[in-house]
Parts: sequence; C-alpha cells; structure tokens
Amino acid sequence: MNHYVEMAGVTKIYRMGEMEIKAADGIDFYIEKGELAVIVGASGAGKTTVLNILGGMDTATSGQVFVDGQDISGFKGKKLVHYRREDVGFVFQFYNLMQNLTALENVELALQISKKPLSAEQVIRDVGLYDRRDNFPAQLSGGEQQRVAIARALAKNPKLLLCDEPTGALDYVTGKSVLKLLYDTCRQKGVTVVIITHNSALTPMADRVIRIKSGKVLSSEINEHPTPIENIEW
Amino acid sequence: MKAFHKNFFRELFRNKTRFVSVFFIVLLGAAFFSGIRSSESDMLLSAEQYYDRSNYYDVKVVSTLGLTQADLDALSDVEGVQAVYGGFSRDVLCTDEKNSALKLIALQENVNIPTVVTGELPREDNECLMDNVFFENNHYRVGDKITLEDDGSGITEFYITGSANLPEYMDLNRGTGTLGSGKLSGFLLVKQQIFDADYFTEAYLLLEGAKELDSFDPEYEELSETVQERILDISDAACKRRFEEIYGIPADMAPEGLLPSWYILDRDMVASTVNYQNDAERIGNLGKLIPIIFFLVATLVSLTAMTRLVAEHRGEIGALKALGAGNFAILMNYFAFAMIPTICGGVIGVLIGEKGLPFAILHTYQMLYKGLTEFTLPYNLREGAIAILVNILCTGGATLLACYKTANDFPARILRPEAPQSGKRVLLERIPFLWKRLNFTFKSTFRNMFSYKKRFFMTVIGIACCMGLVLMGLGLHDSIGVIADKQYAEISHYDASVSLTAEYDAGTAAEIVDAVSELTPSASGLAFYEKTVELSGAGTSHEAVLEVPLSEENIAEYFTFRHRTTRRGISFPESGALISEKTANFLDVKKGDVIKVRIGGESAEVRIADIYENYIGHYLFLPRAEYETLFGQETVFNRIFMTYPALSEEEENLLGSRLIATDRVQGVTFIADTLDWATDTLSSLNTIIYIVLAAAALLAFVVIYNLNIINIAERNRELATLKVLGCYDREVAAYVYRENIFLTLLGTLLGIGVGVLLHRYIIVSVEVDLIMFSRSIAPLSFLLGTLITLFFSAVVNLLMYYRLKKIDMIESLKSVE
Repeated sequence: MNHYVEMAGVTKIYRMGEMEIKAADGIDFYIEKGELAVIVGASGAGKTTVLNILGGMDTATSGQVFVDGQDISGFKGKKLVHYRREDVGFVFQFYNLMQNLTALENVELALQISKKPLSAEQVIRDVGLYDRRDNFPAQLSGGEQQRVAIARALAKNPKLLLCDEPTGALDYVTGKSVLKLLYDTCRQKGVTVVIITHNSALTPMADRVIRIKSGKVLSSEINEHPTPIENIEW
Repeated sequence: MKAFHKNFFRELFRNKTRFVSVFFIVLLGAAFFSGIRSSESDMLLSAEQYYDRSNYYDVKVVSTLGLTQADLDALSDVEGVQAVYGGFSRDVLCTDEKNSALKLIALQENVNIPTVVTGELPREDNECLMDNVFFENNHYRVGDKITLEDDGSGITEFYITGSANLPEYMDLNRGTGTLGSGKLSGFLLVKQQIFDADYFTEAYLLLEGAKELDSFDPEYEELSETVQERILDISDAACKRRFEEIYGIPADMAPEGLLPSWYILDRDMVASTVNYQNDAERIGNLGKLIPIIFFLVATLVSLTAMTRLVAEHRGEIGALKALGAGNFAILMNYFAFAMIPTICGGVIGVLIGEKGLPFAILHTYQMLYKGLTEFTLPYNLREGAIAILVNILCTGGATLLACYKTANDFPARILRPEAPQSGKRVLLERIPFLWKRLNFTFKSTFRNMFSYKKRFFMTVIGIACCMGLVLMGLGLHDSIGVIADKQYAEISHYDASVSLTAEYDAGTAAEIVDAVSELTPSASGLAFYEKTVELSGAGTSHEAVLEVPLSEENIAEYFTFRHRTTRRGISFPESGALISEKTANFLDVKKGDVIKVRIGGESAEVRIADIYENYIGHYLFLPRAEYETLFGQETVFNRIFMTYPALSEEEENLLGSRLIATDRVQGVTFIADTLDWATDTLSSLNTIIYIVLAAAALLAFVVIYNLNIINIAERNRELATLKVLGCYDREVAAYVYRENIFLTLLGTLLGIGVGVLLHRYIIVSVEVDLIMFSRSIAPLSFLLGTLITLFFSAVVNLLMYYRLKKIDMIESLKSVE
C-alpha cells in the first residue's frame, strides 16, 4: 500500500439492457513516484478505461485505486472534480485546446483553476513555445499544439500527468520531440507520467511497462536502463 | 427504402424539443398573420352582409327645394338605376331630453330596412321605432312615450313600439342638424303618412348590379360614380323644372341663388361607413408588420435548429453518401424534417387564429359600432394558405441553407470532422489600454462572444425582436390605458359640464353661473357657447366642437392647453383659434394656417393660433371677441363648465339634482362619469394587447431557450475539456452564463429601439377617428420589459445548468479516428 499509484482488482462493467461489457476485468498494477510508465495494449484492450479511472473522469465498478495514499475509487461528485482539479493533468490525442484563446491564455486557463499553479509564462517557456505564446491554436502546428496542451496540464502542478496517445495525431519526428518533452519533464521536475499507447515500439523509453489485454494486466516490467528517445526507431 | 424511412421517424422523435420549438413559433406566426388579415376581411364582410340585408342605399339625392314624383321618375329612367324610393325626414327637438335633437325618418320597406332589436314595427301613425342607441342610452322601454316640441306640424307625441338599427348609422355618430346643440342624438322611424308634404326630402337609389359587388371594391366605386355622373347630367333640367313648378316663372329669369340644386351622395359620404372601412384597413395594417417579426424569428430558430441537426448527423450523412445516396435525397430528408412541424404548426395556427383573433377584434369594435349586431367569422382559405406558405418558405429556406453545403460535399470530406474555426482577435483587443485591464475571464468571454459572428448576431437579433415585441405590447397598454386620465384629469379637468335650456346672452349667463356656483361650496363656473361645426382645411373637412368662453380670465381652471411633445403650456390666444392635435393632423394644418369654420349655413375663416394636446374628441377654442367679429353677432351661451373641490358620489348626486332643479339648467354630466365611460371603452382594446403580449412573451422564451441549447451543443467539446481540467459544474456554467448575460443585455438594448419603433407604427395604424393615443411609453414599461426578458433568460439559464451537468466528458472528447 505504499506505492504512489496503485490499482487493485479494478473492474469496469457497462450494462446495456441484458448485455454486459467488461471494459476492465480485474486490473492490478502499481507505479512509483517519479516514474514514467507506459501502458500498452491493442485497441479495445482497456487502457483508455484505466486512464479514465486514474484521471478521475470515470469511476470503477469495483476495486480500489490509490493515488498518493488516497483511495479515490469511492470519490463522487465534487470530490472527484477536486481530485481531477488538483492532482491530475490530462493530455489528449487531439489536444482539445480552446480555439479562441492564445497559447499563453490556454495555459493561463489552468492558473484560474489550480490552487498552487506554476507560472504560465515559465511553463510555456519550458515547453519551448515562448515565442509562439500569442498565437491561436489554428496558427500552430500539431506538435506545437500538443506542447501547449502539455504546458496546460503541467501548469496545474499535478501529481500525475496522464497522456492518452499523445503522439497519435503527430508525425514521426514531431512525435519524438513531444515524447522527449514528457521524458524530460518526468526526470527534471519529478512528475509521475503515465502514457498509454498501442505502439509497443515506445516501451523502451519507459521506466515501467504495463501490458494490458482483454481488460486484464498481462505483465508489468521495469526497465533498469530506459533508452533515450533519440535512439528509438519505429 | 424502408430502413431509410425508419431512420427518419426515429430521428424525428429523438429531436422532439427542437421540433416543438419550431412548431410553436410557426403556430404563433401563422395564427397572427391569418388572424389579423382575416379580421380585416371579416369586419368588411360582416358590414357588407348587414348592408345587403338592409338594402342600404347606393346613392341618395337631396334637393334644396325637395324632390317630386317627376324627379323620381326621371331618376329611375337613368341608366344603371335599379329602383328609386322617395323618402321623408325632418329634425325635431325632444322635450323629455331637452336639447336632444332627433331626426324623424319615414319608414321604408324596400330600402334602408331597419333591423329591429326590441319590440316591433309601428302600425299606427302615432307610433315610432326608436334608434337603438338612443333607446339604450336614455333607458327607454317599449310602450314608453316620447314627447317632441311642436314645430308647427301638430305632432308632439309618439309611442315607442320598439328599437332598431339603420345601416346609415352604424356607429354612435348621428350627424349634425340645425336644432339644439347642433348635434343629433338619434332618430325615430315613423309611418310615412305623418309627413304632410307634397315633396320628398330625399330619394334613395339602388343601382343595378351593385348588390353583387362589395362596397369596398373599386369596381363598386366605378359603377356608382358612373351612375352618379348620369344623375348629375339630368339634375340641371330637373332643378329648372322644379323652380318653374314652385315660382311659375321661367327658370332663365331666376334670380341668383334661387335656383335649386341637387346633392348627390353615395356611401362614401356617410361617416360611419367610411370610418368602419378605415378601421378595418387599420387592423389589416397591423397584420403587415407584427407577423413579419414572427416569421423572422421562425426563420432564425429553424436555421439554428437545422444547422445543429445537420452538424450532428455529419457522420451519418457522409456514410449515406458513401453508400451512394444522392444529394437530392439527403436534402429532401432534412427538408421533410423541417416541414413536419412547420405544416402542423401552420395549420393549427391558422385554425385557431382565424377564429380567435377576429372574434376578439370585432367584439372590441362593437363598442363603437353598435349598429353592427351580427358578425360572421368564416375561415379564410386564402389568408390561411398564405400564412402556411410563407412559413414553409421561411423554415424550408432556412433548412436548405443549413444543409446545402453538407449535402453537396464529398463524402470523404464530410466524414472527417469539421475543422474548428480559427481563433480571431477581437476589436476590443486593439485598444490595449482597455484590454490589459480586463482579467482573464472577461477576455475569454469577449473573445468567445465576438469571434463567432453568426451566433452573436442570431442571439442578439433574436433577443432584440422578442424584447421589442414585449415592449411594444407594454407600450400599447400604456398608450391606450393612459389617455382617459390624461384627457379628463389633466386636459379637460373641469368637474361638471352643465347644459342650459336655451342660448342666453352674456349677462343672463353670468347670473346663471353665479346661481349654480352657490349649489356646492367653493365652486366656480365659466359659461361657454358650444356648437358642433364643420372645419375645412386644404382638401379635407371634419366635424368638431366649437367652444367660445364668456371670458378668458380663469379658463385655466377648466382646461389646460399645452403642447404634447414639449409639455409647455399654451396661454389662451387673443386672436386665432386653439385646435386639438388630432383634428389639426386630419386637416393637415399647422400653426399659423387658416381654416374655414362652418356653423349651420354660415362660414368664416380662422387662423390657427396653436395646436394643443388632446386625446378624445375634436375641438376648436375661439376667443369671444374673435367669434363676434367673424360671425358678426353677439355670443350667446348654452353651457357652463364648473369646478369644485372633490365631492363624494352622494354629494355629487345631490349637486346633480340641485342643478337640474335650477331654472334654465337642462342637464349635467359629471367628468367622473365620463372618465369611467372612457376607461371602460378603452379597456376593451386591452384584450387585444394582452394577447399580443402573451404571444410575445412566449416567443421570447422559446427563442432564448433554443439559442441556448444550440449554444451549448456547439461547444460540447470545449465544455467537456473544462470539466476534464477540473472545473466545477458552476464554473462551467459561469463560463457559458457570462456570454449569455452580455448577449442578453445587448439584445435587450437593441430591443428597446425595436420596441419603440414598432409601438409608434402600431399606434398610428390602429387609432380610431375620435381618439388619439398617447405616443409615449411609460418609463416603468421599459423597466418591466427589460425585467421580463432578463427573467426568461435567467429561467433558461437555470434549465441549461442541468444540461451542462449532464455533459459526458468521455463521450464528448472521443477522438475521431
């Protein structure tokens, strides 16, 4: 029980009339503080479900979910929102930035929400987009938009940074640079990063690799020596 | 195709809120449009049927020396004349209601047939059928006796066998005469025999082919004009013949002014007929503008609803197109979606509106047109069809506009998600001074509001239209409700109007004033000469009441003269006349112009010294000296206006009986009673206004609700992201509310302008001849209108809160693979 993040016996069952769909069928794993974890699995394996539960966007049907000593599986309503607000930063595959706000303003949005945020300007500088801070998302490339999204998530100063297929919409080169950013953030700032992907080629970069199939954890392995991004090819 | 149809109906059911909104708005617009236009035609039709039932004359011929049988024969020989009937009439003075002048009219069997309301036709010579209005006003009963002043004919009494209406006297106006106050109070229908004369006072003509036509039809006008010209052609010869008959000398030797002349009058010369037609047209005018607003809103709402629907179906449309469905089929699908609520709403709206609205309106006008006792409210297919068609055009057009682009696009492009609109800088940002000061929340609110121009304009315009309608309704309520008070408490603020038994010289009049002033403490009075006269401007003429005061000294105690717009007082002029505003407008005269005043047979020209604010009736005030100069005679006085400190009803009744008991006093009218009558009459107009107000309020609600739903639906992704970021429900709500509040305020402001314009237009269109409606809207109404709009906004926002809560983050943010 002293792992930073732990899921124990987590299930997620959707009932549609008489049909039962088991999106998660007994998930058990843990992640330590400051690790960069990659959750891999084929489409429909259940990894998004795991991320949604971890991110406080959904609740488990049964089981326990621990984050920094707290069991969030029972959280509902305002408590769940509070958890999402303070402890989680989310990065989507399709960025989901506010089209009407500039890059800087998108990050500033996080400042309005969080209790102990970082400086928006500083975070934008950290992701290397200081020069583009006054541009609208439509004026930024995919990779730049994703960086802004990451900056927005980081500005909240969260415990967990959850990324759902962050490079899914990006080309090879850009994708690599975004992953490098995530890696550096993890190492330099000590943020616990969880990335889910269906691309197993990415697993060498992680500290921990969790494989999921049919709603269950197949394996959870530690990489003693994670490979730097520049050296990974796919 | 069966699956396709299944899809259609299921989809229709899924979107019921959307379609109910369209249904309601179409219903309102159709009901109003067809209802008001039907009102106009129903009013005209009801009158027409009344005229036809009564064989209302088409042309009346009057001669200064009367008409003989030879004249009648000559008239019936005129081409186009179907029948000629000789008629008799005479003015008499009623001694029971002294100073009431009545017109004695010979009963006709074939033309101007009276419509009996109570009792029956007279059989004996000393029986009469009384004017129903006079009958009711003076509380007569069948079997009562009416006594007339002997004018030498020997006839002084009639038994009343019943009461009736005549088509010539459809409203409350009975015309002018030479007896009494100049104004006729009613008519009596008696047997022809009692008119002991060897000539007819008038001839009534029915024209060939006229009955089949409608009075308001230009064809009827033409027909009548043609025959009238032919009558004019024979009038010369007939007049000469008459002259020779009477004087026995050849007509060529007739001295100037002695030759008789004919007056050929048609229905256009009858005030009530013309006024009624004008009133019907005025109602039709209402139907020109208000429905347009409804249609505009209907288009707006269907445009937004269908755009939303098509956007949601983007994937499906793409799939169908990829499967091979044609562009046309897809367009038709959405067209059909829109048509179902449109046609349903249109048909039901027409069915309700075409009966409901005419009923309310005709019922209201009955207060003024007491002669029209029956009316018909048929279904008007033409207006109904137009209403439905216009709605189909509006919603159909909106639909086609909404889905045209998508339906015609390449399937591949449609299947991809629509590219989000790129952010734009807002105008406000170019003022860095202001922009820097705003905190982040305001910045994002402004950006959101102004970037999506289509949404911005639709919301602001939608709210403005509704606010405008609500304000118009409230304003109408003010304009119409307030004039009774303004007229009788502020302008004609005397307390009692006392009529005298005869016309007295100044000295005697002053004595009477002193006498009556003693009847109640602290009372004072002013004597006037009051007479109904005819005023003529450049091309038109109008009846008015002439008032000449005995002295101008204390006139301000009885009347307040002021300018309506500037509210500045006008002092009684030393020369020239004061004319009431509406009369001046009708005659198209302004300060300084000259008008002709005709009293009985004499006329004179008067300069207009000023135009004063007045709402009920038409008046001309003339200083005594000027009257005496113009008409070359000493002023005689027949009326006294009195003021006194407030009395209770009992005290006033006591005063009334004391006054009547006084020698030389004829009758009393207390201003309090007049005020009550005016208030009652006007309050009936309020019914229509309440209907408009209710409809406007409903419309406002439906529009604001719709716009909000669409607003949220379009920004689903944005709002879901906010939720993911960790915003509480109320913060997400506030994000949307901030914009709504701004847009509502802007719309309300714009709506004020719309409301004022609408109000002004309606007031001018709907006025009746005798009454001028106040053109101003009370400040309270502005406040009330704003509050109502804001209230609806607030209620809708509250309902939206639940929708916001239900936004599923996961569903909304699902990536499109």
